[in-house]
Amino acid sequence: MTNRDVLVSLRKLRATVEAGGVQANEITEAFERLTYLLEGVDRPDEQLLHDMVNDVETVVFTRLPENQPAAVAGVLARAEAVFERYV
Amino acid sequence: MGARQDHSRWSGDVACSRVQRLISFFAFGGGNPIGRIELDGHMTLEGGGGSSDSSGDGGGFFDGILKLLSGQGDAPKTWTSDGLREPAPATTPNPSVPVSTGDGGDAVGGAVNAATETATVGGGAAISIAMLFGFDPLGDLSRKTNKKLDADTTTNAYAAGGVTFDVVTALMGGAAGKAISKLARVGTNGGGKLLWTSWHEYPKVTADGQTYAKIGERLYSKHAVDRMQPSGLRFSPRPGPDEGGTTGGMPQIFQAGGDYGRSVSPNFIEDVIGSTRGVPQENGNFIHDGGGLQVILSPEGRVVTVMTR
Repeated sequence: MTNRDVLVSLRKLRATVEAGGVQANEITEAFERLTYLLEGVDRPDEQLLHDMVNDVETVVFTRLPENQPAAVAGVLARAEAVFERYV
Repeated sequence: MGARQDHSRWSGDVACSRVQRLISFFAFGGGNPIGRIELDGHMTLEGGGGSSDSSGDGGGFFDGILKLLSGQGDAPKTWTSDGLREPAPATTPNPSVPVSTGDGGDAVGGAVNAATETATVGGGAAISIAMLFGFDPLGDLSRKTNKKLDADTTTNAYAAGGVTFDVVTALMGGAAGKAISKLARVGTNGGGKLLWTSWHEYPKVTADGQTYAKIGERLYSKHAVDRMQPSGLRFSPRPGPDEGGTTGGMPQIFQAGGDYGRSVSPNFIEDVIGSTRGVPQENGNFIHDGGGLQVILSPEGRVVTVMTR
């Protein structure tokens, strides 16, 4: 799986989240898996992605269900910007 | 590396605020064992001699620690604010430091446990332990580079049963190491000995239709327990808890494609819960922010998840 493939997967995940098509508890794992599949990540970006995984988890476990998709999608959008640097 | 360094000239009254820097100096100043570090307003360092040589002639870092901990080393000298004193008196374990209840494991695991009991720093054993093993808890070490390096050591400590977060994360370095220093500053809760192991090993309790692990008097979600697992175990070739072994494996983590564990012991979680105020969240849960570690509790006080920063 190339980094471009990983980026495509992330975009699909974001689209699915925005459409409300994924369970909240599945989001963190799916997103975290993608962060590990991305290769050649610099240390600062690795920390950024780690923090984003935490951000998603925080949303999932602290926000009301109806507010979660938009908040998670916002984090995933930020992650896309990082992923794009490695494509 | 390999340069001899004379530590014997160091002496005098040491303010607590300088401890981290000083210990760091010793830990990296040739990589020699300090032996024991105590802090009770002043700092006491004990070692086998005043000079060191990291070139490795059988007196290496771990060898020295093992000798000191087992009493096989030379009678240690003690530097205190009163000057040189010897031999060192026996150390009384600090009741605030969680101590392993494990039955040993291998030599490294035993050394880690012994270090937990020996290194006595008021409210902050983690710093001394980290330094004894040559890691800087304040350092921004990459979790990816360190977890692989120390996976086996961590695995051994974990397998010994109930090894504290302080020890394992000190070995792992990275963000969790920062959490250690934060904990050291706020102190510990005089905590007990909570078993740190896999989901499979904990007794289960069903509440509100969900299965929890019962750790001490608190319920933990499976997600939280998975997050608490030592980082890097997936690199171990040994069978995991769900494969008939006691260490390594963690297939559920492997399948997730990432290193799911965050190396957080229940003792540390209890410390954070006990030392911080829970902030209510939109959905009714509470966040306890311990700096390097955040714990999210349900309204019933169950641990939902933990996050390292």
